[in-house]
Amino acid sequence: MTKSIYCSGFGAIYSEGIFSKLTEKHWDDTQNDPESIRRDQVIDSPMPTFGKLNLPDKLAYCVSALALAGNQDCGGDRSGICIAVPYGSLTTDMFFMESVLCGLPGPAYFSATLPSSTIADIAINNKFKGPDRIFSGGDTPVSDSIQASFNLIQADKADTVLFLSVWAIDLKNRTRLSDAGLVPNSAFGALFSSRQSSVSSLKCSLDIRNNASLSDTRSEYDFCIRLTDALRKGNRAVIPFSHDTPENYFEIT
Amino acid sequence: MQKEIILRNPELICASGNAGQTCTALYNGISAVVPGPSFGAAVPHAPFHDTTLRSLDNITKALNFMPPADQSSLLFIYACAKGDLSALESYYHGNKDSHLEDALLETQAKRLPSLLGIKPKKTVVISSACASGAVAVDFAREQLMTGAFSDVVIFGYDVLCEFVVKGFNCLNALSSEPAKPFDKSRNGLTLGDGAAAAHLTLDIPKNGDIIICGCGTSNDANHRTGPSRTGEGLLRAIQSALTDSRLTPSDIGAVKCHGTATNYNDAMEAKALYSCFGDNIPPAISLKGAIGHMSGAGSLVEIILASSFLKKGLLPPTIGYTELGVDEPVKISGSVQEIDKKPMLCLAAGFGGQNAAVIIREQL
Amino acid sequence: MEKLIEELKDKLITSLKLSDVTPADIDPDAPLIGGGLGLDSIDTLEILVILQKDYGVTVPDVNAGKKVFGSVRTLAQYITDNKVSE
Repeated sequence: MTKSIYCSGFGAIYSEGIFSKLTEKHWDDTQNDPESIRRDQVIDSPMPTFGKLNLPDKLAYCVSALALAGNQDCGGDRSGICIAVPYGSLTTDMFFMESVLCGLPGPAYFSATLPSSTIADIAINNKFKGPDRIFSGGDTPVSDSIQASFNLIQADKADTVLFLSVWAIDLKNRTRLSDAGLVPNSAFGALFSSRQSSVSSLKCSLDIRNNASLSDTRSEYDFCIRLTDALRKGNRAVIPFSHDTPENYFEIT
Repeated sequence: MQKEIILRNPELICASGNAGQTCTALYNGISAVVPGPSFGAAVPHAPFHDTTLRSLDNITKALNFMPPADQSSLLFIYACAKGDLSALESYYHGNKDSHLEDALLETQAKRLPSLLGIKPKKTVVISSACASGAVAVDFAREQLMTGAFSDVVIFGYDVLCEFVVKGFNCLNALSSEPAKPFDKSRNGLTLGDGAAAAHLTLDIPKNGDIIICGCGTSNDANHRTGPSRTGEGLLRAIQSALTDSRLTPSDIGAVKCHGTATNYNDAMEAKALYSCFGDNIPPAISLKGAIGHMSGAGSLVEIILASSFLKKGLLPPTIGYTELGVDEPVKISGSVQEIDKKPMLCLAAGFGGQNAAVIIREQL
Repeated sequence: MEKLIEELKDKLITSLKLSDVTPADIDPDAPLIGGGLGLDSIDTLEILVILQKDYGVTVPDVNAGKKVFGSVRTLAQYITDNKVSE
């Protein structure tokens, strides 16, 4: 039997600002990029380990805090994380290589040079002990990640899944890459569950008719923005994953 | 008869060679671990015989993987921890013509299908640290069971390089001697080169086919790199795999451990196994003292080797092991062990708290 | 010694990228690892890098490092005892 799936929280950190079910903040004049996000913009209490987070991990952590805000009854064995992180840990890999060249390889950098490191602090601090899926590239990692979130719940491997998508390359490192095609630093997240935890939880569904991939990272970024807009409004909406594949869509029902 | 997830045409290359060569070496107690230095670190390692295989072009040729005949509904999964870092290293060593984008798994995944001789409908990259291969098998199983695809090819690749060796070294994780899984004097990892490719499909099994019965994954939620001390995360992955397979602990005939030979991993794994099996832990093996720790690709390489052990009904000795160094009665041995033709449990764990359990059986 | 303690506090905050922490917040005698600063075993390894890079001091046996990493004060004491004099 197919379970109903609800979205009980969401988060978005991108050029337009910082958004969640409960808050909407705009960037300060001093902030020219989501890279500069501060702890106090997403988390109320002091967090000494915040500064240690490398950019992909920091954006993932912040957006997870936004998506989890106001949701008390998640965490534990039946809570998992599905993340799309197309750029992997490349930005941290670059800092690690610099430290190698200096003759003193940095342990803190190395421990963050895996796409799975990006969710480590989220899992630890929120006790998300269930199954994870980490999509570090591929044709449609965002779509894969949302599908995986739904599949894990339908297959009864989890009751709650935190979906995240993160694009993160430090500004300092962007100059070394061909900046032309790079997606801006950003992170998006949503908390999916088989339980309707509050009246404001939105019932959702996925329809994927066309398994072939006709998407690219830029259109997946656009999808995340459109999804955020729809979740902010909270009304019924059909959000295709890309304009080329309207038969694949996320729906707020 | 019921359809099952079947493992077809698996190929691997590690420090001991291909699957056949590796099994022969393992059953004869021959280790592929050689003294260092390894990329400047004074540690032993398990490199490919031919280090020019450390390139996607060369390894895919050497693997000799037979692609599925019908590729009309094919999913390709690239499963690795770090994959090919050569472009990153080359750039930082002064070759400004190197493209850093080539270090992205995404970029490598785009090139791989044609190198492997496949035309998938879709490509996915799964990177769950050292559990990548096993998690990819779990994901593949889901995709096949739901009918999203009728065939899956998984390719794993993780090799020794300056980045990886110096990285683990600065975490103090590498042993100055060849790794000794579960041994009293174990004190760290030995890294190795590894690559593997396998085809999974949902079909009616023939006798001798290796079937993926079920899988389970979990997160320790304990520490960025260290496993939970109680092993409860790995235990839950094992229990999830048993549930997925509709099996109980007494149905398991052997265990292919993760067994990295670090103090914490082996202690944790022993606790998880004891919590699951009690005093009746089945015969168990770790391969990492023989062929090294091959990161994400390793968990796929080791599942393929486990399937060979199962077909033979024999577990090779755990090379590097002499005396039990964990509190629980894990049946690790320095000699060959006979195993029943029952399902086999394969374990993997990785940074970020990743745990994965895959149960395989032979169609008899 | 007090000067070194204050210097170490600054270095810990900068090198370990501690946020929401000022030197005044760090009790020089409180446990470094597992205490309120949220430092873990990876930070221990980072501190080893600081010791080597900034003070030319190594800790031969990491496990014996419990004495070294006991607190900021024990860290300062270890540096004072082992620093190669110029």
